[in-house]
Amino acid sequence: MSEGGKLKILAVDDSLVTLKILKKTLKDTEFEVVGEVTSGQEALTKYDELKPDLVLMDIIMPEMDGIETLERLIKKDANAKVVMVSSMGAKEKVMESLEKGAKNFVMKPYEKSTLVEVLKKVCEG
Amino acid sequence: MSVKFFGQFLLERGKIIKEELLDALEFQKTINVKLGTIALDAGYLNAEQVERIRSQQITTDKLFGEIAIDMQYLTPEQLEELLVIQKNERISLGDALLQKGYLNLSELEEELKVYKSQQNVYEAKGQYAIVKSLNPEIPQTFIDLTIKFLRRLVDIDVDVLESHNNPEKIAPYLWNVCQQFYGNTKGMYILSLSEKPLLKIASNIAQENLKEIDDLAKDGSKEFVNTLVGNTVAKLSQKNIKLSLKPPELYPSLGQIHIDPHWTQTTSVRLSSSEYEIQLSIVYSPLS
Repeated sequence: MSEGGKLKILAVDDSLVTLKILKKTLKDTEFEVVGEVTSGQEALTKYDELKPDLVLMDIIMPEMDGIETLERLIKKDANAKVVMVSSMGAKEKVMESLEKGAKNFVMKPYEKSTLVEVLKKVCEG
Repeated sequence: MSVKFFGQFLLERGKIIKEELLDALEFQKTINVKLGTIALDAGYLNAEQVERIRSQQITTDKLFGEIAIDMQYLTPEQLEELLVIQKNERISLGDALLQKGYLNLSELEEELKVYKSQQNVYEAKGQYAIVKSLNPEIPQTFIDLTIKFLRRLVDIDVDVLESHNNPEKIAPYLWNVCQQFYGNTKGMYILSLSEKPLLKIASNIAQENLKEIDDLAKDGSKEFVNTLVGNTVAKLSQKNIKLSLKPPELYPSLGQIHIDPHWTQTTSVRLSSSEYEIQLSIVYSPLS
């Protein structure tokens, strides 16, 4: 939990716009973006530091993509709750990430209610 | 000149003035109600369902009615009923200009005749490069989805102005948003545009009025391309063309775009709206 009593989210996306919109979308919900990083490598470091309740992870990223980052994260912490974020074209990668330990996924562009619903489900599960 | 908009065509020919066009468009808008609104009025959908369908519309290229049926909010019979209501109440821009008294019937008929003949010439110009490409369904799908996403996501209504197959002319404007794909074919999607349309696209995506090409604007334009190319890839997979994507990139000039010599097919179309001109190119290898 964050200081404000909200569930902590680490957002991983190479797009600043996506991170900005995500923060805006989750404002006034039970979730709070406590960390934003733009690469897989940074995500691994920040995860140890922040110990988030959830990780929202983009799939298509330069260098280390979302799936590789997910695999490394699960190796560090088998209980990590990772939700993948993807555009429509990466459905096969979404399936791969679910097999590799992601808890759920959302498709971009997403609706606020859909995102919150998915995050809640993952937290409850 | 684009002949996409009949209103713009009339303006350029001096048949009406801008204020008359705006007034007629406003009049048309009050009469032509969206399907969701008609369904609300009929009591077939509630506001939450309409909102859900609209947000689904952004991520697919399906029509409102198709999604409503997929989500089992409407039966096919209810949809048909709503479409009949919508069709009966709809008026064209020409009708609106007539009703407002800005054109008379013989002027309207004459202008429509000229407009349609020009439209046919431009459509043929748009298809020219597509039919000359191998596996034309690839560029055709990219082009269709680009036009749809420009309209749906960033409110830019464009038409195809002309097309070509010249790989040396794939990036005529300063900014080029590119995304590589690979799988059954390899290649690159390139959206070439000047500062003004880039800021318009990025502002819509970032939900903020951006004034200069800063990091946020660059990211906004890349995110737009990522979404539309992602949807195109999903659509192509239904035609058994399986592709994966690399992250989008933004290059300020043609020199920095790396085109693999195996990508032998080039299809470019120049798109035009009332305010902007944009070119999109698809450079790819033939299907193996």
